[in-house]
Amino acid sequence: MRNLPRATIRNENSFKLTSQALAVLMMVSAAFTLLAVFQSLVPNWQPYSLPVLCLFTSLVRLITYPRFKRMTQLSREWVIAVLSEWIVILILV
Amino acid sequence: MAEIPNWLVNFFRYFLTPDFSLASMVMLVTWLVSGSFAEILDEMNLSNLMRLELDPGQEKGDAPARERLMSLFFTMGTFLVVLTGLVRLDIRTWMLNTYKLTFTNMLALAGGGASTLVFFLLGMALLSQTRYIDLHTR
Repeated sequence: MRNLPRATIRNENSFKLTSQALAVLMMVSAAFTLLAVFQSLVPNWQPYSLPVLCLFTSLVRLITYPRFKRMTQLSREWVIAVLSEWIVILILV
Repeated sequence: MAEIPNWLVNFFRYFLTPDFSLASMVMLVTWLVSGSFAEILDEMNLSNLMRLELDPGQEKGDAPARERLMSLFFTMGTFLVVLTGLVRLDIRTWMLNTYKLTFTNMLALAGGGASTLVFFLLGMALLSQTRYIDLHTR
């Protein structure tokens, strides 16, 4: 494949960053809607941390995806990486 | 930390509380959906698209990445619209007592209305951006 010009690479990086930011914000908006549903069903339970947790989880997933992609699925290192990611998420929950 | 000794007494009661289980399920769904977004966006980067342009034989059997992104966006959007509609129905009273559905008096943007609207605005921005990058490679 031919070498890409510097401006194109910069363009690609900005596309990647912007689209990831948009995807994360979409997940946070969805979390706010879920929050409204939970509040209407159980008024005593107010899980205000839910959007923050969603922000963290989706950010981590989007950032770590290229690394996971390089690993063989269900290999030992993949399982360790997924489990360690999930332990951090569950501790935050 | 004070709750940890209670786990030894009754693990399921003190560790898997309803709010923790529900929040964990939401996190699982968030993780999976974000994974789908990451996969699609990774496929849509410029070098990948240019490689496919040069050698179309490398393309997988799946639908094009942009179509899958649109499908994911509209599926999520539909789900959120249904949830926003459910907030406006007094389901709690329906479940607890009367089995009679009533509408709650609520502002248009309250009860998840604003966040669903923001979701669609952000999704449109993402789709237009992917359209731009798609045209840019041609």
